[in-house]
Amino acid sequence: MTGYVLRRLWQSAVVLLGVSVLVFAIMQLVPGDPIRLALGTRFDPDTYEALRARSGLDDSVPVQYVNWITSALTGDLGVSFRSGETVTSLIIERLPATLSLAGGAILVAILIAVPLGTLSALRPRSPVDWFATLSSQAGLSVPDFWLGIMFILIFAGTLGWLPSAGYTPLFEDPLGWAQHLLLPAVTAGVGSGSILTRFVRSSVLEAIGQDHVRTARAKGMRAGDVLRWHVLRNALVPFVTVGGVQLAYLLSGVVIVEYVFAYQGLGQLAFQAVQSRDYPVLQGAVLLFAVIFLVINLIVDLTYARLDPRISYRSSR
Amino acid sequence: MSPVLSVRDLRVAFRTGGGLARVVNGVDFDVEPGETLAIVGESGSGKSVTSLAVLGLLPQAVTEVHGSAVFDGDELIGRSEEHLRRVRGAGIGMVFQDPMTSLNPVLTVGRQIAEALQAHEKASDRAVRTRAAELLGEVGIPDPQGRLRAYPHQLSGGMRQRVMIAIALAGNPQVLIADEATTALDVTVQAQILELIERLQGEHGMAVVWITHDLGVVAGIADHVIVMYAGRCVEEAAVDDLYSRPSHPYTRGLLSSLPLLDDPRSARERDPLTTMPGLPPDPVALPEGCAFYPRCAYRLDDRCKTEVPPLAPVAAAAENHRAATFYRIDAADEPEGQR
Repeated sequence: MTGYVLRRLWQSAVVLLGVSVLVFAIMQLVPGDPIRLALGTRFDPDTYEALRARSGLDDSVPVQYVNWITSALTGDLGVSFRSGETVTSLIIERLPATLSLAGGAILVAILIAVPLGTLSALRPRSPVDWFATLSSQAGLSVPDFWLGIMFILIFAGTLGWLPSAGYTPLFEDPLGWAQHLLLPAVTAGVGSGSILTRFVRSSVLEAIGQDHVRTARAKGMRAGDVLRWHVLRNALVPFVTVGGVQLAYLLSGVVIVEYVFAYQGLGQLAFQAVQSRDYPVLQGAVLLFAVIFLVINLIVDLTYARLDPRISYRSSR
Repeated sequence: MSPVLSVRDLRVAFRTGGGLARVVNGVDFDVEPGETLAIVGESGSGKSVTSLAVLGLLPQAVTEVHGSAVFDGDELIGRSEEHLRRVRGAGIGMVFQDPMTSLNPVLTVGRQIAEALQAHEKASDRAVRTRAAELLGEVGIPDPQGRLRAYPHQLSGGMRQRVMIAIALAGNPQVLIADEATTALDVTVQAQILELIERLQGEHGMAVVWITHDLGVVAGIADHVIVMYAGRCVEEAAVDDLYSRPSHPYTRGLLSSLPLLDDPRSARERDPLTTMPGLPPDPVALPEGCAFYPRCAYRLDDRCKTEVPPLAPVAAAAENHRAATFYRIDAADEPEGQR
């Protein structure tokens, strides 16, 4: 087990190195000069040269990369061209907002998907199944910016129940945190919930047809216990895979949802960095997203072994 | 003695895309306390469906069940799920064919036995664990205490089937239904499982219903045999009568397709094994008359084609040996091409 984790971590490091090269290369291809953009249309050529030199943009590209990656390893992702703050502090500042949003959204997705998917699998071709299929189709088809705007119009505008924009840290004002979180979390969760609903339906249908479910019923177990321990428990393994991917996706900043709700998370940070050619911030954010994906995938794979005893990491690679 | 399980005119049909599939078409049988009844037939003859229908284990949405199944004085067909739940495991236990897929791969053996114990009575975790280990010991699993923590994939096929039997025994049932319980196992292991069930039957005083396609298995263990074809009982008899005087053409076909290990004749003198031509009928489109008519070597005339032969005594002397055929086989008259 420990050997497996070490091997996976080593593989992750190689993947991250590849990602960093790619990210850096793409930044070089993006047109536009960040220093010119930061200084505005009328600027002093001397200041411009000085800033370029200070930012290391005069060095050759490979030297720039090596400088960036070596300091990244120490946690120093550089300084934002735009605000002058360190990228690390910008990311740390935004992280709680994105964690809240991703956590809230995955919760919404699970609360939609598990009951709806299970019910529709238990009653195939019934009205519930019909409703689940239709609503998950709708949830997938509706763009989240539109859904977000509708929520703002209804719940923030007409009804005035919830704020339309912004983020409040949890420890400053728990109620405000929840109020600011609710609409973005539902907006982001609907899409994931729709994907997961279909997935829950198919994996529950598969689990329900297994011979051991018949054995469980033949023992005289109560229907609820059969469902919990022989159907849902077995459907959990495939569910964790897709759920993990959805969580990683949500954690990597739901750019559009954060933008619509002016929610100060990582997605918005990355979006602003693209607009202002703020290379260090964008590089840092993309690298962080890659780390998040790798970590969640590792956690998902380790969870398998806990959920299904037939999976063992001792001898396999 | 009154039978512990009495099935009358049981009919099961599945609603399929192609129409109504009539899988069981009026089956009657009695299971006496402590006896061994064998239900024999090829795949698709309705033998497994019969047992699942009795316990209400078929998918309700697509199944139509009619007739009667009285267990211990209590009608089971058409009863509520909760009523049937109390009978499952505690009244009638079941062992299924493939112990790999019939056990849940992600739960320990101990837990799966415990579920069977807790389904019918409340008991402390400790008592349940002790009882589960006792059951594993009873079915011949070494180190029962340690094996409680094993997962099904860590056991051999024979051991898994022993676990299935332990689960079926947990509710202390009056009837044990073994549905092709040895089919998926190696021949040597089959013999061990047969022996085990026979021993447990004696110790617990259970009746056992063996559902199998293998007449060889039946010979050694059954008291009574029912032969099923296309969802009907075509012959029933005490086991010795069935083997000495098979009276339905289908039963004769089944028996003549079995190799005899103790045949005194040399290989050259021996009759070649015969196979029955044709396939069982499609349950969506059953023939109007006898379902075996298209494959029957003894078929008579239009009567077999248009009329379903009733199950009737084969001779005045043998009231309990009954066959559903218009043709009365006498020892001498074998048609051309058979034997």
